[in-house]
Amino acid sequence: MCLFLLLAHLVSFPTRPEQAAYQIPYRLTGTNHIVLRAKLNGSGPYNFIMDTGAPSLFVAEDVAKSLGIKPDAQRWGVVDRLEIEGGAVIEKIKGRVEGPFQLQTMNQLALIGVPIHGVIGYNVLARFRIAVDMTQPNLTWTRLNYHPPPPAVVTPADMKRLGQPVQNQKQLEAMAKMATAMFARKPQEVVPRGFLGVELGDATAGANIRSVLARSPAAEGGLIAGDVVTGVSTGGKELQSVRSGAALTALLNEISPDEMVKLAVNRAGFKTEVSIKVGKGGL
Amino acid sequence: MRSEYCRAALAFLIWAVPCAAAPTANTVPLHVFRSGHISVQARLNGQGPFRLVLDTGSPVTFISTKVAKKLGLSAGMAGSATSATGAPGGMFGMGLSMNPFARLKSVAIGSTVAKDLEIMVLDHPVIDMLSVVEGPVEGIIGFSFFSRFRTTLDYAGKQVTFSPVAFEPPDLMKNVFKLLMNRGGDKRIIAPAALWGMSLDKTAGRAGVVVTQVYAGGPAEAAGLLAGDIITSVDSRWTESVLDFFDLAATIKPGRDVMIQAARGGVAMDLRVRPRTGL
Repeated sequence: MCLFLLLAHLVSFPTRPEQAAYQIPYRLTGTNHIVLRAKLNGSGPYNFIMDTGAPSLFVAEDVAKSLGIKPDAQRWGVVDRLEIEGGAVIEKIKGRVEGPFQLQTMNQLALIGVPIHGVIGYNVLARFRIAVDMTQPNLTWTRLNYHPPPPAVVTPADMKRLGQPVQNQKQLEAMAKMATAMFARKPQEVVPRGFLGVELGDATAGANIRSVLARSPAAEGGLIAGDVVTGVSTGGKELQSVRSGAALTALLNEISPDEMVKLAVNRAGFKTEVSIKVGKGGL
Repeated sequence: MRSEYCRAALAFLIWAVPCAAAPTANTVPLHVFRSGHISVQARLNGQGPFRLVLDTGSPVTFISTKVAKKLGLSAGMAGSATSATGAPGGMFGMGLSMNPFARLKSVAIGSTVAKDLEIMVLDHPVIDMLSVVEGPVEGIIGFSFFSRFRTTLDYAGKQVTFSPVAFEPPDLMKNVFKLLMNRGGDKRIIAPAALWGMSLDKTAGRAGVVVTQVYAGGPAEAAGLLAGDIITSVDSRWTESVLDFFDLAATIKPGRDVMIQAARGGVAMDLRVRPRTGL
């Protein structure tokens, strides 16, 4: 997302010896954005887009308000402690207290699956050497002991000089608002899978129950070690046969907490049936 | 016979040498604007170089209508009546009825090349503003380009390094279309990839998640976890909610050791857990 603040002065870029390297976890969204998590003044975590197209840290108004970060007249606020998941910490960092319209659009369209609370831009990123590699689970941020000069800021005179592009930006915002109104939707409900409490082994025909954890939902339903599951029925639906532990897992990966599961079981050569009320919050 | 062999060996060498030399790192200058934006010089379809903003927040690679015209990209445009020469009224200088998508045969930054890249032709207002202040900027290098490489940004050293990696960016338009057509109201279930043998809950206002139950005979018990322990992170990833923990557990395969950071009665401790095959 390309955001803009205009400039004040020219600066030099001294380089200094580097310090620690951090492994920064990220999530790649369905919109191909790189999302990091960060705690602000010890609260959170909040979700941020890593954005070299943004001139600074941006924090959504409601987040800033809930943390008691008071912006000045130009909407700059100070975050006393920004801790990025993976261990990179920056103290006393300035940020724009504003959710850019692109963020509002993405949140209202529930495009990303998680709410986005802000953008991590230049005044944070420039302090690190950052390796972005989508084949790896983490980004590598190496602290450079370098304090980037503050980004320049737009003045009303600049706005006048910029002319048409400013109008176009407004047009773009209006279009985004229209699209948002058309497609706005509620975010998906996200729930942890229901819990059984069984360890699976290898089996040639069916899912072999290697062990049943004591007092787990599976134990309370009457499943025992050595049982071979040959069929599954969830939500009162028809029994589906299973030939492996992987097949059983695939079918039960769609089950919500507190649902009933019926299993067709082969126990020491006899066919039987076991009903389990799956647990909540277990794994 | 012998010469036959030599010829084969020679042929092999000629074939093998360029292959062996393939994935190399390429470092190019990174310009840092006073606005905090960064740019690189890129050759498009062998022409240029053009100055493009490198933007990790842009899923798409953009080029200006001016450059698109220079490259002779006219395919896909429905109403070409509106000229590309800064026609009044807008960022979509080519007219609103056009298809803004086009393909470039090559986008090259130094010796780093992406072939057959889908791009958008659009006069992005922020790029236009930057051009007014800093001189010509002709577009944005986005995720569709940089994700094909291990991209190392160094603002202080004013350079960026690209090394090829085996990553094909997901089809953005297909994904976004799917996301928009999915009208919500549905639910998504997060399934752990292995059996941990414990139950978790969240105490509002307190850090981490609390272990409410440890099942005898399971991996959590083997690791020494007890009911009442507070788990604050797993492999340095925060577990601030039950869903956080499940999100993470969905990526942890059976048989892999993970480090849990926990607190028991206010005392921090590290525990090693090896989840097993199960659910």
